[in-house]
Amino acid sequence: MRRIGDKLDSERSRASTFRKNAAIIVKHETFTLAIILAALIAVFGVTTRGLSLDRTNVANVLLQSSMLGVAAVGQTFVILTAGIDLSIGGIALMSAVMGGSLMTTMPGFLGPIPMVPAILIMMLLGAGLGAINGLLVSRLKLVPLIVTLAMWEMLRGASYQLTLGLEDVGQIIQQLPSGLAFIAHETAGGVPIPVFIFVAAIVIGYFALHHTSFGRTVYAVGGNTVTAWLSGIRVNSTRFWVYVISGFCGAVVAIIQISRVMSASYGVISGLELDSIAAVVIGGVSLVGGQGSIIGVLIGILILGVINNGMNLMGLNTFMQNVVKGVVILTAVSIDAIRRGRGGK
Amino acid sequence: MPDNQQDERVFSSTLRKYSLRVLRHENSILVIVLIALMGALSAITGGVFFSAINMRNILLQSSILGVAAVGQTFVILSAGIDLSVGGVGQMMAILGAVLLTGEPGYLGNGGIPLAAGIIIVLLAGAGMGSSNGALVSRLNLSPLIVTLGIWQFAKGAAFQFSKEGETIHDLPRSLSFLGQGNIAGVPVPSILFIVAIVIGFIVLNYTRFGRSVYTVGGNEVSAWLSGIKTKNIRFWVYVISGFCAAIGGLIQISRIMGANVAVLYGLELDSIAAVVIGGVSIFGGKGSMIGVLIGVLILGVINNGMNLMGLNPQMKLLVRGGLILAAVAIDALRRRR
Repeated sequence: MRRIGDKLDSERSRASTFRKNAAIIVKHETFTLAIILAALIAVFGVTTRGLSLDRTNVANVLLQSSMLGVAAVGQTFVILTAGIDLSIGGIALMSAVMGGSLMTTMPGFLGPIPMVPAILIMMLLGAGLGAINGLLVSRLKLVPLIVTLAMWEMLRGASYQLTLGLEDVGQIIQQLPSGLAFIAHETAGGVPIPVFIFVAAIVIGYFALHHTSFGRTVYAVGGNTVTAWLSGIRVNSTRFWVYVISGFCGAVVAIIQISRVMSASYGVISGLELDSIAAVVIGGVSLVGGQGSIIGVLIGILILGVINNGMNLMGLNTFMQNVVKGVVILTAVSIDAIRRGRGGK
Repeated sequence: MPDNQQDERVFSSTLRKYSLRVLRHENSILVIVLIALMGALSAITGGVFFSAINMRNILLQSSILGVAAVGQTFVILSAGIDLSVGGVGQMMAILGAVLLTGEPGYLGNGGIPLAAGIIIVLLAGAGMGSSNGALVSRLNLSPLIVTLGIWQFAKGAAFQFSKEGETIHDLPRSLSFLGQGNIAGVPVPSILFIVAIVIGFIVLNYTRFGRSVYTVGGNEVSAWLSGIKTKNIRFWVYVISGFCAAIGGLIQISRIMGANVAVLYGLELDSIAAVVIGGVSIFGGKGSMIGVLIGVLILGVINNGMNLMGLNPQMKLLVRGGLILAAVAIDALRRRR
């Protein structure tokens, strides 16, 4: 004999499972970020009177976010180990200028050599510069902040020297092989290639962090270096490779950028380090390491891209834009600190 | 005869003992480096470097950096860092210029009296520093991120106030004393630099506040447990740094009698370099003002030498970056021993 209670029981268990799952999703921090992103898109949609939702604009946002995104993926690995890479912009600049110098037919530079080897050299250079960072941090145990700050300065100086060519003043290196434009200007199925590169970076990053042992060592080293060391993880090796990854990502950004503008000069890369750190921090990765996910960073990149684009469309001047960005970063860091129970540094 | 030999032996061994003590003092290495640099540069520039005029120049040019470095020393000793020094200095420079000239139209015609302007700028610098300090000490945020953010904010504010980057001219004549005047033949900026070093030295070594700074930087938990108000210490060091940055800004606009957004570029990096070269540990708790003084002089000598050799600004960036790396590496090696 079926009792009334039976039906109520099964109903109740279905409802509670749903509630349980819903609770897990809502408590996940990425959910909050997605809500924030949606809210921002809505807000800017209103304040720009629909301009920001226009298809061309969306494509633009995705394109600009692609470069930032690749850099942010690299930065994520570094910050997860409780480090920081302030030199990623410098590495990108150096790679860009080196690439330009190698590929150009202008006299006084290192070129011209064919495009493909030049691009490979750019990537090697990025990884190599990252390796120097990694060595200084992991072997000499220097503070990542200072090391990458100093490297940033040095690379800025060195890149300028590379742009001198035959003149006494920095040049804009042009006359790059026309095939280079393919990377940034072509689309496949209506989607610009850089977006593919961005998505690939996110996917590879996600896979590496969550489904390889290397990824797990990254989290372990960032969470508690001593414990990681005691459990047999090669802490030095991990801390070394994350900087190589970051440098490599910087080089990839450089490739996309010089393809976009078909030139290379001292100013060709700017703001990459601060924006990438902002995207990573907004995305919920803790600055003291060990916590955070690529998905969060992805949303962080998009949030930053939407904010940048929206402010541009609204016509805000650079000062206001910096103020807003600064406030956003400070808010994200504060929330992070509060969530960690006021234990941050 | 035996007596004389005995005395000689005692004398030479005492000499050796004392000279070893002196050499082992960490600052002596710095002095040796400084002297070696000066010697090398004299050789390279064919004696131009070592002229009296050039020496005076070095002291003058290092003054702004020196004052900023004093502020930065307090911050780094407390295991913090202040990346906003350059930006705040810029902002104060523009603020001062705007206040004193009444340009570009914010305050009507003419400016405000010199003394009032200077006081306001100094207070504003301290105010910027206090926002750094509050965020770091109250909300426990990372000094790196906070000062990075304030740096961007200050740069943006400087840009905004200066009417999108135009140069402000026509500063009142009375201001020029600060940057170009002399007291008993010594340039005023140099005097300010020396005064800052002396006050910094006295505060760090002879006041409870100074000793607390060392303790907080050494081990914040122990400092807290021994009753030191660590929050306050961490707050005030940033106020000091902002104040010093403001002084730097005032000296700068007084020297060139104008202000634009290019002034004081790189001050934060230079001040950190000077402090680290001077032997202050990045982790806090160790270092001395004398070392910082020598660090500032070393940086000044190198800058001056690079100028005399005609290197372009980016080359100087390269050298500066390399210097910071070398200094931190030496610091790390020294700590391991």
